Amino acid sequence: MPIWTRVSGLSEVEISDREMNTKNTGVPLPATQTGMRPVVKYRQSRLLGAVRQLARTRGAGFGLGVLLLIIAMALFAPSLAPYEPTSVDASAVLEPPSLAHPFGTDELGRDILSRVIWGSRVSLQVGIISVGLALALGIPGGLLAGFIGGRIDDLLMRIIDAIWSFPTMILALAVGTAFGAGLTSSFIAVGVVFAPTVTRLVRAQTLSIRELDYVLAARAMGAKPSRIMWQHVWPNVASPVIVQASILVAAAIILEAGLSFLGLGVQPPTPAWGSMLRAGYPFLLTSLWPSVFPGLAIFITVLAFNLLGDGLQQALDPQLRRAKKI
Amino acid sequence: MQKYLVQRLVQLPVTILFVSIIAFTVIRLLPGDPAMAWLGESFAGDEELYQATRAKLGLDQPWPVQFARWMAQIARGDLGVSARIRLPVSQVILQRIPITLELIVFSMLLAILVGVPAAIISAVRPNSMWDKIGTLGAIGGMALPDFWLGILLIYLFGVALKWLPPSGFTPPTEDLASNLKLMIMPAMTIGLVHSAGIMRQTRAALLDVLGQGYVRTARAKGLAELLVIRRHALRNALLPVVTIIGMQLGRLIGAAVIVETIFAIPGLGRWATDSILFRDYSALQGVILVFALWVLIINLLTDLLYAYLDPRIRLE
Repeated sequence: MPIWTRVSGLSEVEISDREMNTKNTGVPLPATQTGMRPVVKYRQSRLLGAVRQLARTRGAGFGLGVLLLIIAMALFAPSLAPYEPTSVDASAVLEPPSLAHPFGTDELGRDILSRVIWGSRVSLQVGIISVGLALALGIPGGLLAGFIGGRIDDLLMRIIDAIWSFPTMILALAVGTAFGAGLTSSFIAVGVVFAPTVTRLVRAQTLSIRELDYVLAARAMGAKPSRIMWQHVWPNVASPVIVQASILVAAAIILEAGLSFLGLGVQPPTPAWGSMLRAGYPFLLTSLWPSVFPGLAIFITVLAFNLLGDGLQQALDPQLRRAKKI
Repeated sequence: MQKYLVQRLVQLPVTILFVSIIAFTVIRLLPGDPAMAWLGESFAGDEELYQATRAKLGLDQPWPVQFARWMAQIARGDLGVSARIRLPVSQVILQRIPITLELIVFSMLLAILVGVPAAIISAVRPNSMWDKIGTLGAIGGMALPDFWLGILLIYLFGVALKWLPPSGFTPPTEDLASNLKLMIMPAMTIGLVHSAGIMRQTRAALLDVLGQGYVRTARAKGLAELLVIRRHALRNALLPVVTIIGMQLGRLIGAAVIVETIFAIPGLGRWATDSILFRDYSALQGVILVFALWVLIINLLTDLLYAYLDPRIRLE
């Protein structure tokens, strides 16, 4: 932290927030209303406030709860699953749900409940790692494009326009095929496909923030561009990116399931929800169950991430929050 | 407006060039040997024949030369020959475009017919029972994987109720009734999933507009509620709705990839996945280019329509 902030007793976040308040209302708010407190406490209260807000939104609380359950399911899959997910039983093929097999068995006599539990690992991993990759590629790209502008920006935007004009599924299929079948290939395919979305969002936010007075002030004080970018612009870009990330995880899970439904991505016998549907639906005429539960698992997980994203948006967007209070 | 139009039209060829470069590069990254794919499984390992095939397909040339040749070919309207069925790619694409187009048009119509009325009912009485049902439905619809919905519909209408044939395709010129019957479930699969996004966007836009002063004025001067909604609210809420419909129209072609596979429809999407699995370079290049052009044109039209509908943009 530079000396001047220590002298003023305010963190940079506070200063930028104060600026934002001035910007939003046109009138500088008195210090008591900008919520200024000692640095550490202020940061805590901001985080706590967001979490509290999140828990108060009904949908988001539900989403968060379901997600924790699914994460626990993935973590404790070995002890939760009643059977080995890959153990074949020729005497119990395509059985309807029963006490022994609550979700029934698949075309090889494997327990569907156990495979759904294990499958959560693939979906969560792909969702989180591929979106992490998209963020790692998209955030620096978007910041640079928005901050530097000019030719680099033009070039990057044309490339992104081009990537965006491929249907997501086709691009993911092609990238996935290029890297061969398997989990890693799914990470890369989904991550690369989603990176432009993040870049666009970060760039648009950066463009609007870069014109604000506090950035000008930082520049006037001789702050280096990299410092302005990470210390002044990024903290104010972060909220919409967090919201977008949660929604992208949901989209990533659907996309991965689609890829493994088409036969790409995780290969048998590793259980994944998409490939379970692929294996199950040719038997639709005689047995419905192999086509129901894996899809239901995808639906619930995606729903949870979407609800969390909606809730985060309400919790993190001061304008929405204020609008709600009034 | 004119400046904007010119700017967009100048950008288009640049984007198309990038699209071609990306399509070309990604396809070259695919594992497997296209010459081998061309020769087929009966190929006995004749080195001379193999080299001749590589030369014939232009695969012995460096990538930049291959790319330049491909671009020159495209300029002549020639997309090469499919390795799998030995037919000109352009011919196959022209045959299959109407099939995918039919699917997309029906899906979009259904999405709008479900999404917009649901949004109006919800927005007119916010927090009513209908609003809650509509909003919950939309949140659920957005989380619904299209391939799963497709499978469930096949079971419901094709297996359990036996109302519709489970999958397949009949050309409309052969038997229009059968063609339409077979299109119902695929269109429902895509349409219902995409109506959710339209519903949420339209509802938000309507709620925003209904809170405006001019709507209060319209109500205050005694206009019938239906007129208020239609003339004052809906017209002004149209902008964001047009944007989302445009975006979805571009994305629908991606949904067609999976839905055509489930319902065994011989459209472009099915052709694309088959070409990837078979390493059919020319076919894949051609179909990807068509997809990208579709998205670019839809985006351009959406922007133009947006500019046309919003006098603030038009007059700038």
